[in-house]
Amino acid sequence: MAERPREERITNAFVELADTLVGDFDAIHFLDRLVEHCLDLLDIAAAGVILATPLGDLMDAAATDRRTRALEEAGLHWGEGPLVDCYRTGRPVANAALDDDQALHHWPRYTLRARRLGFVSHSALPLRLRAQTIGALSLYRDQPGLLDPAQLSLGQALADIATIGILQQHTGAEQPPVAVHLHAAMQDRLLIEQAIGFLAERADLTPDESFVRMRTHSRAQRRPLTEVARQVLDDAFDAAAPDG
Amino acid sequence: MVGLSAEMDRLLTELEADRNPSEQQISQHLARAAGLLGLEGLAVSLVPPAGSIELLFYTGALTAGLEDLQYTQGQGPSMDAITAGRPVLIDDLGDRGTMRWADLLSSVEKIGVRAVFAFPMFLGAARFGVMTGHRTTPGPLGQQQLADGLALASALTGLLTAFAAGAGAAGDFFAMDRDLYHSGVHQASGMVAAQLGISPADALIRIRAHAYQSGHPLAEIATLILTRRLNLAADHPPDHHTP
Repeated sequence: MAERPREERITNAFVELADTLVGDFDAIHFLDRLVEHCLDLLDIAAAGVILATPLGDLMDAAATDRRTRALEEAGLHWGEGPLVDCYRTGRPVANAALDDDQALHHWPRYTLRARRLGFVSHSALPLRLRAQTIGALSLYRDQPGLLDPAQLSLGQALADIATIGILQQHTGAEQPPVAVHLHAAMQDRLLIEQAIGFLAERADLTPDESFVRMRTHSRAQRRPLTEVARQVLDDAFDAAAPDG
Repeated sequence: MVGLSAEMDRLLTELEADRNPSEQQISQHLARAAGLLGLEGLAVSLVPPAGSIELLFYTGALTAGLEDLQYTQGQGPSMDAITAGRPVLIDDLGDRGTMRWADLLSSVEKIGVRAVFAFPMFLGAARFGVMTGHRTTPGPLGQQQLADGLALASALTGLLTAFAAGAGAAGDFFAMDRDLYHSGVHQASGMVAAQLGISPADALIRIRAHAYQSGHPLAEIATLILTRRLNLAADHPPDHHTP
């Protein structure tokens, strides 16, 4: 069977993970799918996720294989490794080499253990929304070479989906995604701007006069400006009618 | 090993500590960030699922011109970063053998820009914006700058999220007293829509086409339309000089 193109697999991964966010959300199942998608889409040998418990402890939540899981568990126990640093700082650690002395100096026990599994580099990306870090995603390579920016960015995007999913689960709220809010608010504003121009043409006003006219109507009728704007654009606004 | 630089870490910490930064403060942060990334300008734009890219914050003398060119043509590195969902890094505009948007990039180079770097901004599965930086000198971003750039895009995503997540804040964020960079262009779209009996979206396409053909900035064309010095409905050119 021919392998599907990468772009298509990326899209499918996003759609599948986003779908998982709806309804009964099972965090562990979700994170299992997340690391599988990472393995499929990125040039890595293994992936894992750690999560902070409500008490602030760190737990290993998912990994692509048992040995990686054991490595992460050991790293948490020792408080060593890029994953721990990433969680503590809330910042990504990109392509930390595990085969040099610096790594051995920073994370002595973790580095030796990771080397035994054949890993040569480790990138850790935060599960983070604004100032809140709730975990970290690990990407391990067993071949020389770096994870390029496109792959790190894709990894972060996948980590972001996990963050939203888990935070939504914690709040238990069925809130519309904030991106939708932001875009909707922007569309409303654009609608008003368009209506200003439309009414200016119809009523032979300057744009400023047109805006004042719409705002006066909105206040007098106690109707939102966006509603008035829609009316204008539907050509159903009587500019000559007096307000108040 | 490439973590975040200490300077960028400090900047992002400040950015995140400020709960309700003003537009001016955000622009100042952006200016500092641009310096750390070795860039001369940075822009943050929103890109709704359907619709055009909307410039929110920027810093740098050439930034508005660069974004204007992309907006006019409805394509470019910023749009591609969003569509493809990955950074689009153009080290050298002078070396564009197989690059897309040859025409756009030659206009961009004419205003003096030599390198463009666009980072998509994600919120969960939603691609909702893009951060675009540029330089007047060619050359790739270093590994440190890439790591810093990715983290900055992520922090700006958090900032916009916070605007949107606060009660009614997304609406407030786009309140009428805030200047939207393309306000005039959208007003002109409404005016042309009324003149030609077409949708504002179609009117915007016509205005962009006119700007593109005339080689004049979109904002200038919009002003001419709004002050009735240019009428796209007219079959023949008006008797006074228009671009």
